[in-house]
Amino acid sequence: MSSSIEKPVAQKNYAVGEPNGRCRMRRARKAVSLISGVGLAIFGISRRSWTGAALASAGGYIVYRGIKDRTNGITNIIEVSYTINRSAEEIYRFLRHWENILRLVPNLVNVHDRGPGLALIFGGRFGEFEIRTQPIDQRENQFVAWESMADSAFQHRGSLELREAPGKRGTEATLAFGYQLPGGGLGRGLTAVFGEHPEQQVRGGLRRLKQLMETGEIATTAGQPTGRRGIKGRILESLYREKMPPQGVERSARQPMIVGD
Amino acid sequence: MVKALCWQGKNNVQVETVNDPGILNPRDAIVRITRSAICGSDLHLYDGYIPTMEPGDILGHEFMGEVVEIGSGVKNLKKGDRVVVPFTIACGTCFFCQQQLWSSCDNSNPNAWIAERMYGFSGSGLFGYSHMLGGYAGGQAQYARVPFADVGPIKIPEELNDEQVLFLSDIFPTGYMAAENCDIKPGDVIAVWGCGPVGQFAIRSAFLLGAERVIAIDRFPERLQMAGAGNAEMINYEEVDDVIEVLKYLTGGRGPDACIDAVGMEAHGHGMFSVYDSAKLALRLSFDRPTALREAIQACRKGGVLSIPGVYGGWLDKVPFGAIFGKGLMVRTGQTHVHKYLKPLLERVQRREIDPSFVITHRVSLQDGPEAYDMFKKKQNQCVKVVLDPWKEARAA
Repeated sequence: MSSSIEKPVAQKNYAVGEPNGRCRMRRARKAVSLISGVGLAIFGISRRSWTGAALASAGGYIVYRGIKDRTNGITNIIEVSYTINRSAEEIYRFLRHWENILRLVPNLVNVHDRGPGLALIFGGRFGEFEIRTQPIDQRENQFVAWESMADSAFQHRGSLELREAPGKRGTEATLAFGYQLPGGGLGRGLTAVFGEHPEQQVRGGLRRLKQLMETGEIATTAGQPTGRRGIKGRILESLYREKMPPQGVERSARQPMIVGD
Repeated sequence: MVKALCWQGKNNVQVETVNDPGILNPRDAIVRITRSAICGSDLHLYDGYIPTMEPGDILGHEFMGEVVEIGSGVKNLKKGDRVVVPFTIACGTCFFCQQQLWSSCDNSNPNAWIAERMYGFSGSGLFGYSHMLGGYAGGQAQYARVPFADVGPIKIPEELNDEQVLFLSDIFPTGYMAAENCDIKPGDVIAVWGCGPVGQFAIRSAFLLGAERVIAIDRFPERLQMAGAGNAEMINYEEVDDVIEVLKYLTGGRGPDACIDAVGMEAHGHGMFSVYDSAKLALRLSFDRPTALREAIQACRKGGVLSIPGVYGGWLDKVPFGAIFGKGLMVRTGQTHVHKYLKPLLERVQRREIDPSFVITHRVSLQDGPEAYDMFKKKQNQCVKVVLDPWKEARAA
């Protein structure tokens, strides 16, 4: 249990040697992100309501990301830890089945084993896209680590460590994830507003693992009845994940989990 | 299609026709609701003080009914069972549920991330009480979906009628836990701020748990009378100069051994601080008016207990924390761990130690729900507790 794991550190630097055209693109993106952010913030503040406040902070966040958007490569690292009231063996066994992983990431619709590495197919609001990843290290019942392949559209590196929690409280599952999001500041801002920011995804994924391991299901309100929603309410339905997910996702979300080997 | 009371904004509740709820998870059940109630904490929603309510949200967290459908994971219930549903939703398997801290369940809030940003950690999901606390459709409706139905609902024996057991869903356990948190010992005097339904149950529970005297504080005569009927002494705070001095006088200068704040964030209050709170509310600088809490802290005896079942939402201002430290008070609060109290309190009802229906003043149909909200808010017609019958019109038709 004394494995000290290497934290994923994003290394690729895409800014180096980039042609001028892409720099201009990035400046334009930054400008769009600033303008849309400021607009949203002003609209939000003028509403003088909780939604207004939410919109204003969303706008503020987009501005913040736009400004903070550093032009030289991967800088985002997320570290999340939850204690799961199950043994490390049970969790590890669960994670060995890709069908189970599909239930942890809402927009992950399929996984193909493609020779070297795996292709993760994501669906959802922004269309279907593929992420190529490969396991880099694992120790049974202790930890797994993976990273994106060189040709992947989404550069990332992650690890999950399992450690026994004190006082028979189960297992401390610690997830570290480093990434670079395509689309820069605007991309990050928009994904945050729609609840699909990598940080929310990673945090949510680990939380769903905990829920599945402890309760056998993932708490949801998707598909429950509601009264008349206003425009704002309909927008927020996706943030609160109240709508039934798209067809493919729904299938994966409802698959029974595989517990044994 | 079924009828439900939906929140449509501040002071706006409407009867709407919504889709039938269905089983979404294996441990779900669907309940055909036979009785539902409006809770004082629903007024915080009605008044627009709880963030992340959205138009169209189905209200209601105090309900009971008949099981009409169960998911594949529910083995202890069957169709036709008559159950009361606790307002907190809890999984039964996480660390907190296993410690009997049911309202702190780790796994029942699908929107836990919002509550985590606000409070650091998220409590359990609740029925019909904002998206931050789960976004679950509530029970002021004809049917409701009950998640984790294998650990929540309690079966009700035939000899008890709906009105006798409905309040096991929230206010009886809430008042009871508030009294239990007071660590009542022989000779103890308990003061209760707020004689709404939770205050009424706190008063009666304090006696059930062996309190010597209970002093009830409110301003509405009918509520004070109800407290008096439960053997409490009464203080109408509008008729006295200083509640704290009166409490000292009534307790031989010691102060109450424990103080229960059954008022919460929307205290009406009086005096300088109450004007200050209202000004801040108007400017949207705060959402809580902790008048009752301030008084309870000030009045409590040295080394006493401050028990707070009243709901608070955000940041409180001008709370005399120095008095809490100076007197070494113990503060106990939080959403009720309803699951823990269901069985023991049902047994008390069966043993006729208490008949919770004493608190009901109004019985209306779901259709009349919007007017009932308004009446309850304005405390008109001596309203203390409203019970809704979701099927009254259907039966009459």
